[in-house]
Amino acid sequence: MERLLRTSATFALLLLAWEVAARLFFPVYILPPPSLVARTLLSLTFDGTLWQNLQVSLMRVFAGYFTAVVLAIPLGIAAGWWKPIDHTVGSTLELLRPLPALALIPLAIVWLGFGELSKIALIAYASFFSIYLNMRAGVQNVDPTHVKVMLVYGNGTRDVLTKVVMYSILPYVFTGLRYSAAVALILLVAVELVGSQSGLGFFLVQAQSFLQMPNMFAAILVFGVLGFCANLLLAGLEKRVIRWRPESRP
Amino acid sequence: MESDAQASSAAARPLVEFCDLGVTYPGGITAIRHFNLAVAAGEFVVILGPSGCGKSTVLQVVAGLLEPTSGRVVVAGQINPPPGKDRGFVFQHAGLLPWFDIFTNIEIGLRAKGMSRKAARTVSQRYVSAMGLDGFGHLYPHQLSGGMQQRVGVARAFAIDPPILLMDEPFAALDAQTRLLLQEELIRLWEGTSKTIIFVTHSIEEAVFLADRVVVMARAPGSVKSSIDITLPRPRTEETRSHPQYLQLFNTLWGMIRRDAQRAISEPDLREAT
Repeated sequence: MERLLRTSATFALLLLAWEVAARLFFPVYILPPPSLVARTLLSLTFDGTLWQNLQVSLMRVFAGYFTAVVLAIPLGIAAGWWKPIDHTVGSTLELLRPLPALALIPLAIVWLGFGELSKIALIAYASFFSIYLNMRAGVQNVDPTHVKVMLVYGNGTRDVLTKVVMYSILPYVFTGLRYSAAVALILLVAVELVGSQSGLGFFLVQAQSFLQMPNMFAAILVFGVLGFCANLLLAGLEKRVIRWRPESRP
Repeated sequence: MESDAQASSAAARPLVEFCDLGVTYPGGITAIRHFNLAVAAGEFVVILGPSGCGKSTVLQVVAGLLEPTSGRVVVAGQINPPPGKDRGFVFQHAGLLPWFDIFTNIEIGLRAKGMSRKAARTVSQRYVSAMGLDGFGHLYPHQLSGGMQQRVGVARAFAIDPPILLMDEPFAALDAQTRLLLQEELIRLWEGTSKTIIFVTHSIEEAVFLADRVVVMARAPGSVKSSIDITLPRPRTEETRSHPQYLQLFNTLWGMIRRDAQRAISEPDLREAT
């Protein structure tokens, strides 16, 4: 309670300082006051502009992130469990990992075009690695005692996988999912800034070229809210799924 | 469990027999060498030795978790058997699966035997009661104290009703008082059965209190040094601990392992992870 009070007081003070500074010292095309940003955000919401762009962006980021999840989870488990897969597929992935995804944007555009495909592929590529690596680490860090328990009581490999491995990797899954969500968002912004005719990032670029600073601030704010919500959602999901331990994050 | 005729033939052929057993780990460390021991059906054998003497390794081989590099272990006529329902195992830190509740943890062996969910629950409920864990069946392991967790570990082993129980320093991680209580609970539970127990510990008191026979191991590499029959009367109760022979046996055993124990704390630790 005390914390909430102090935090909100600080925020209120910061907002007030921004408002005053913006009104007294800066023109709107440099720093718009928060009240104007809020009004702009409201009108963008009501005239449908915001939703129209957000929809496109959300579709892209979901498609890319989902592709990454679907590929990274089984591959990570396989690489963690079977050495031959780790030594072949895993090593190849290790080779690709240092390539910064942002550097691949021009290449992706040449290969896959300006359409949705290149954007989704880049988001998927960038989000893939931390999920994959966390899955792999999760499988490799399964407590050997737990495996022994299963074996000694007459369980086979299938039961070891479904009753031990699947559970012990869950904290790693969520670490990977959360980290990747942040990466996916960064890539979303990047691909929309560079080669896009729609989406929230495109809206941001447009705002810049017309020096519509309130629009720009509104778009930045919405991106921030997206990241915040993604994290909140995944943290909530993690808490619901992993109920057997008070703290279990790797 | 066995008739008299079988019991006498079992005396000729022990239930568990180690023949010149040797285990060398891939790193090159030899944990045990020339390990010979015969355990009769219904016997409570405690393997006693200082830390690092390879006593846990012996147990892992009997359990079928580890292949011997030389020699063999024969369990009920089977040479180097894989893990099976005829042997229950109690782990040092209980070894409960943290994501399953107590019931489900106890049922791990029962379900692997192909028992239905419902039948397994009936059995686990009985053992939850037997171990004084009524009302805790739906809790997760982390919600229980160390002593209660190990009760679950013991219940899980007894639940599959195996003729052989293997116990790997099951009480070593518990506080001293809980430890005494669980020893008494175990002996009460066991004295009503005809199970064979191989129990590994480095506690002399524990060995004397529980065993029919204490096997003392030498270390580096581990082998049987000597073996002492514990003739203390059964049933063993808290009074056993003040029996005149108790202290005498304790001192004899301590005399046997003292030098090895001293060496264990003054040398670099090269043993396998236990």
